Amino acid sequence: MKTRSTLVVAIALIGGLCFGVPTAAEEVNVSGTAELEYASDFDGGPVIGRIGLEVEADTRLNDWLSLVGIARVQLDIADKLEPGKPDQRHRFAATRRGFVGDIGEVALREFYADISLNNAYLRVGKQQIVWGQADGLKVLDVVSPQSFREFILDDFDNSRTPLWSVSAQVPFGNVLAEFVWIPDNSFDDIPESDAYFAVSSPLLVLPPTPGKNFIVHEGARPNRAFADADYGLALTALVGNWDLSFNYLYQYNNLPQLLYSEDALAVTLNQTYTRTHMIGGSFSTSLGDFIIRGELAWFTNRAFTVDRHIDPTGSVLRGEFSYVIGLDYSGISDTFISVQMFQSFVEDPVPGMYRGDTETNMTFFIRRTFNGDLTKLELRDVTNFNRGDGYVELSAEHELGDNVTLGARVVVFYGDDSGLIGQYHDKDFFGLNIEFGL
Amino acid sequence: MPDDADSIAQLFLAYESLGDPADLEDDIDFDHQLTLVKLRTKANSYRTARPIILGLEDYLETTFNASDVRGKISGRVYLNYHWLESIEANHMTSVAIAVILALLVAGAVFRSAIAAFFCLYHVLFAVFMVYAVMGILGVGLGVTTSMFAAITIGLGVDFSVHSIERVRMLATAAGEVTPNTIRDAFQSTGRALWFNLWALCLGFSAMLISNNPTVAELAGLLIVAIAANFIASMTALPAALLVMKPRFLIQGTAHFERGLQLSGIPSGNFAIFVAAGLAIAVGLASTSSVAATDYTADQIVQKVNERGEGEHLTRDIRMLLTDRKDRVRERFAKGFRLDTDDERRALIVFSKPSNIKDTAFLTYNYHELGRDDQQWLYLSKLRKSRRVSGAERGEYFLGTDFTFEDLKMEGRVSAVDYDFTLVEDPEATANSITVEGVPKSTAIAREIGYGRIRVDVDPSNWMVLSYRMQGVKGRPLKTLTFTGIQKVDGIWTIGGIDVVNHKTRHKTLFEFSNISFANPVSVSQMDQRNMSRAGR
Repeated sequence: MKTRSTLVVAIALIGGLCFGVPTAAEEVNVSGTAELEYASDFDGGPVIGRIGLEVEADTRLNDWLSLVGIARVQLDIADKLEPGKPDQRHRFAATRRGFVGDIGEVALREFYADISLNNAYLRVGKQQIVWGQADGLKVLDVVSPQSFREFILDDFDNSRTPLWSVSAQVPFGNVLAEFVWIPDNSFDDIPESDAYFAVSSPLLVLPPTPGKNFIVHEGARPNRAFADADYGLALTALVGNWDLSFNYLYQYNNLPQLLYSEDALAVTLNQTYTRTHMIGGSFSTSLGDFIIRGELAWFTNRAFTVDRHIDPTGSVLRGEFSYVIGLDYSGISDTFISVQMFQSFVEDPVPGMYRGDTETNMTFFIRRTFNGDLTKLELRDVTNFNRGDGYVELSAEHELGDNVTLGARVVVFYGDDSGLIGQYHDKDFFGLNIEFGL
Repeated sequence: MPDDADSIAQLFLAYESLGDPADLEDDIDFDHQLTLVKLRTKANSYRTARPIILGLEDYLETTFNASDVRGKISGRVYLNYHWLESIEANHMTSVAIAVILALLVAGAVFRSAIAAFFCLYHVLFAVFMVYAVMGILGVGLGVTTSMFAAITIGLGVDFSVHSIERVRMLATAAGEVTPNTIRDAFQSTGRALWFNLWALCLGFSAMLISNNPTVAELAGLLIVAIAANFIASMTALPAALLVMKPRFLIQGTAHFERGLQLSGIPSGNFAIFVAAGLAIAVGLASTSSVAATDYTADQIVQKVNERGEGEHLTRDIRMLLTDRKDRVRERFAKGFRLDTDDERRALIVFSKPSNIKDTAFLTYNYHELGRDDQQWLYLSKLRKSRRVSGAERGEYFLGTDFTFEDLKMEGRVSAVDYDFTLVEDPEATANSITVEGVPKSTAIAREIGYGRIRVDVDPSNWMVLSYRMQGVKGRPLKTLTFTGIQKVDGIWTIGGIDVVNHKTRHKTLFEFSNISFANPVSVSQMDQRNMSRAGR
């Protein structure tokens, strides 16, 4: 019922934005994209068969107030990424998507008011809040939860879950302070067990016990507007040639902790939501042909899976320190090369943890443009050095005209089931897409 | 031959009676009233013929001619003698006229009689040098060789004009003539003169293989004259300037280039033009001085960069991108600019088409010398702004024919990256001054993608009218033309930019509308941390 209400509200809002020009507004700008995408595994089985439409409308009501709304409607005839109607109990009611049958989806992606008060800005509504400097993998960019229905292969702009929140940016001299209040307690979308990118790695879920039932008890999602809200502060400054930020976030981990218990008949999984403090920062600067950028963060109460023979609950909470350092090189004409190294360390590791005490990931990215940026060729590799798993993605994009873009990509995973990426070693696929600007 | 006339008459009668009566028709007419006396000389040279002709004329005048008989001289030798007599008589006059005209024009464009003297004195040295060579080698002053002097003056003055103009620019900037001034001037101009020397000598050397010996002689003399001019302009001229330190060197820069540009006459032909005595050249040169300004290239660049552009600027931008097959893409964006005490901030935010909507490019261009500019690109797909390295400033911006650097410098000129000189350029926009910028290092050239730029500036308002860029390898790369120059809110601004990429044959047209210097632009609006809402 709540989902249906959300759907109705979303359609009404979008309709209002698109077609009902507010009398106070100077002008309503409407734009959008329509996309056709088909992806197949190497055996010919469809993975994605998507027809999507995203519409954005914005209007300035007066000198200090403007409204922005973004809505998405899509049909995925392959129905492999989220088979059926996904359970959305981990999402705040007003953040849930509406589903039409098994293949139709309607979502109000964003809807917010931008309020300008002298040099301060207030953004109120459903929005994406993005922190950090890293690409592909995340350290600081954890304010908004993420959908993993396409693992980490979708644009973050698409895969982030916009949240109902308030963001206030207030300058203090050279320092810009951003205060964040997020009463919307939504969490990451983890694919169901029948989804194409279902999670099976012991780094996230433990293997079932043969011969026993498996019972899942979803814990109560925190939903108090203030007591359970996320709060954040980001201080950013340009110091010399350095972009610096200090970030603090008090939030619920975007993934619930999975606690196991077992009796003679069944294994029971209890989901609980744990609070974490994140404190960190970021930096970036240019040095000749290079851009150096990085993030670092300390998290409390991160949940890590443990061998249930050692800890029957299968999970421990520990502190975690993560950082990423990236180097971008633009010294070759029409070419962009980027290398990033991510590392994370567990505080006080315990025996039997599935992850390493230190986890190291590297990303390599190269993009070459041709024909005056009309054609792009990209290669991305993400590798975990602990288990040797990773993926390679080769993609090409060509603009046929002002509003038509053709794309193609091939994704190959490597590694084994133990790795977060290697668990998809038999999920290689290729895809074609065409996007129309509206 | 008998001595008395009657005997001769009888012999003729006998010959006519006995022989062929037509035998004497070529020598005497039927009535025996008109006869032709032929003389042959050993050489058809002026020096051989002159005493003969003078003696014959004297004989005819004083001895032969009487009331009943008259003799006249004719024939090729006599005709050549009079041609050469005319050349001899007029040669020095024509040289004098060429010198006077060259002096007048040089004096007019430099506004200094002393400057004109410095332009010409070593040219005269070269002319005398050629006379000496002619004397030593026995080369006569003929119809062809007589032209060398005027040509020498025309070509030779070119060397000195370039040299003096360059010394004058540097001396004016320095406020005095020093050995360093001379050295700096000739480090750049000397090379140009060296190339000019070889271009002229090689060009004239083609005449050395002419079947006409006099043409070959003229070529040889001209090569000697040009070489003498070059040597004199590289030795005697700078020495004289340094020793005498004439005041005209630090009294301001005459816009010789401007004059050339207006007249449309290439510099290499300018002196020839004068020496040929075309009075129109003087008129055009005088006209040019009306528009002349008293600034060096660096001062012009400074004027351009200091031109008032208002504190705030907002405008809408329509972009038309045309590829070599004439396919056109259209984009729309908003442009903002803000000048603060410390830096100039410029922001472009795209609104259409959808695939680049909200993509934004922000630059901080610091007033503090030596401080590197900073640039950010906001990628709406990532919802993140990322820094753009200095190396990327030569990269093309989102498929346009503008580099990041072009966008940043719009209507201004980077004094940090280039060394500038004033140049004449036949391709220059009408009523403009042209400065040429050469990157200060090959590293900078590679980074910005240009090996040389020429900037046409309107001296009446210090607006840049066009840039012409060469690639790093010296080939024509791009032409940026600023159009629709107008005053908005009392400030000179442009209505559009037209870019032609000669290498790719792409074109980009920017059309500006809703231009305003009155709409306020806030510091926070032009902040890389707020780029996500920049277009709202």
